[in-house]
Amino acid sequence: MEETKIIDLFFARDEQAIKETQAQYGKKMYATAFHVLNNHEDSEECVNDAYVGLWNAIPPTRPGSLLAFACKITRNLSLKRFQYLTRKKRLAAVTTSFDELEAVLPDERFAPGATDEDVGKLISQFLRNQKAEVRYIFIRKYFFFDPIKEIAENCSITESKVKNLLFHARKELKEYLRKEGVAI
Amino acid sequence: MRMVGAIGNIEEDLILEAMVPPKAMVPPNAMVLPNAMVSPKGEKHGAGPSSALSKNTVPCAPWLKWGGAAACLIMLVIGGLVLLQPSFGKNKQGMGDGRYRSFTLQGQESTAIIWPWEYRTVGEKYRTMIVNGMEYVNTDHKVSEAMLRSALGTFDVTGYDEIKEESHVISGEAYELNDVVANKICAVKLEDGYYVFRNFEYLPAGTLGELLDQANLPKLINLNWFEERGKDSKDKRFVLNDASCLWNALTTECREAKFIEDQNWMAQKREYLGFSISSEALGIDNVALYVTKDGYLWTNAFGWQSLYDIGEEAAGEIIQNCREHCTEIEAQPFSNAVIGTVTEITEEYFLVDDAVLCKDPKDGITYKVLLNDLRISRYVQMNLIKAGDTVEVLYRGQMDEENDHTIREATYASKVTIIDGEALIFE
Repeated sequence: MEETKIIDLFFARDEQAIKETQAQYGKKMYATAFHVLNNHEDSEECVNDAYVGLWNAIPPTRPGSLLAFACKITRNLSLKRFQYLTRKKRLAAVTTSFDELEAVLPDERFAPGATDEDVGKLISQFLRNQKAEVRYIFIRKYFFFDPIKEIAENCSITESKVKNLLFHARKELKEYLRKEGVAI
Repeated sequence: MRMVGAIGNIEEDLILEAMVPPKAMVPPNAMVLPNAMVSPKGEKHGAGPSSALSKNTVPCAPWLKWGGAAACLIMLVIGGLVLLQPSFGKNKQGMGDGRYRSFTLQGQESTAIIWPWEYRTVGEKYRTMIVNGMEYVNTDHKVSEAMLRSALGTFDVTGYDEIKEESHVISGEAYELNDVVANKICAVKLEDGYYVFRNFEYLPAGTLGELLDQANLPKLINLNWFEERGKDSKDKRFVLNDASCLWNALTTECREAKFIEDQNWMAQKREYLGFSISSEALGIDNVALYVTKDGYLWTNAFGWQSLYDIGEEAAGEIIQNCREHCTEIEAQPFSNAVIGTVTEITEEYFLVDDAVLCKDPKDGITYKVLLNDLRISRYVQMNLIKAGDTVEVLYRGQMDEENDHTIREATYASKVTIIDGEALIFE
């Protein structure tokens, strides 16, 4: 089913919308959650919560891309769950990505008044000025939390090259955010 | 952790772009779908290349562009038992006759297809029209000439070809429709008939009376069936013996019912009668109208949520009346489907054999899917379906079991993979 028609089903409050979303994007949503949580049951729960989130958000929201919107919701829910789980000492490999991002701009270095949305926009601008492969690797690593090995395989490059590209991207991003005034 | 949250706010086109590796990184022996991801709204995503690598799909012709999800690297797993059971209910192909083994259905690729202009139906081509500064959107539903009232004038109707990035504009004569005001709904004459266009501007009527003045719902709406839902729901369907059981109270004592602006309102937590409704003039088919025990009327007949506080007393009266004047019917599937292997393709039809689903392949049935409609013939013409493929075909209307199991109103097809195993069940 075409994406616009699935969105129409959401607007029609037709529960088939959830089934179609599951059919089209369920696996991607699951992968997004699993890369954060590294646990089948938790990921399944997050994806199910994400369907509810979509149901509640559409309408009134009419997303430009249902897939991206669904992945965003899944990611946010997965991170929340991750925070809850880590409080219970259930750590996942994703903390490496967190640490790397923390090093780019630690919480205490956010400029007063700079919101996550502001920084998100700046990161988008930064990424648009990067080469396509850097953009891809950065988003796969820090939005979807894909393992380095998986990214390397998908791109047909070595893991060390992925790490190297990420290292330079983080370095450039850090400088970019400082210049844009959101890092103090 | 704030940076982690901030990255969650990156723009959606970048997320979509990252669904597939950029072209430069795809190994030379990989099969590549064309680039240029196009959103359903026709917005191009990202400045960089966004070609689609597919490990599971065959190469497609360069004129075919796919939506954001086109490059599924991972097959999608659908609970066949769950999704197909309702689909199989009508064509008797399904679970009831015991021919099928347990299986799981996998979609081989996303089907968010952006069709080339020449392969779109008229309703898919021409989508919007501006009248008095208000944008009307094509519902892609036709309306008969008998429903037309006076002419509103001739207006530009616009379509957009996302592949060639061209706008197409034609003139369309717009008409008022009987029993509905033109600032809500009108009809537009296009190449092959009159299409219902709906004003998508958010203009809710303040009271139910105002809504009924704008659209004579008892006359316009066909009540298909209803179910009782809530804690005592019995999973049974009924038809009303007399539609006045619903409309009488709504059109008299509920006229002053106020519109409620609450986008978080959900019927699912309530006890209610859920009606399936259709209307030729409103350009809707099988959408919802609810009457809840706690006193609300809800419908999406106008695209947006219309929610009115009719009060518990009136709602209770309606529910009671409907319960007393109804007849139970057999549940109908949301959509009909056949699944199987394409065994032959001709210019007029293709054959689908469902032996692959059967415990005993000898029990397989071959279905003849007529290519009499662009919505299905384009899959064959564009080589998206070939002999040997396993496909799912959705169709409307009845299958002609007496005549080679012929399907005359197929509207959609996609390639799937069937595997044994436990079905994923969505709660």
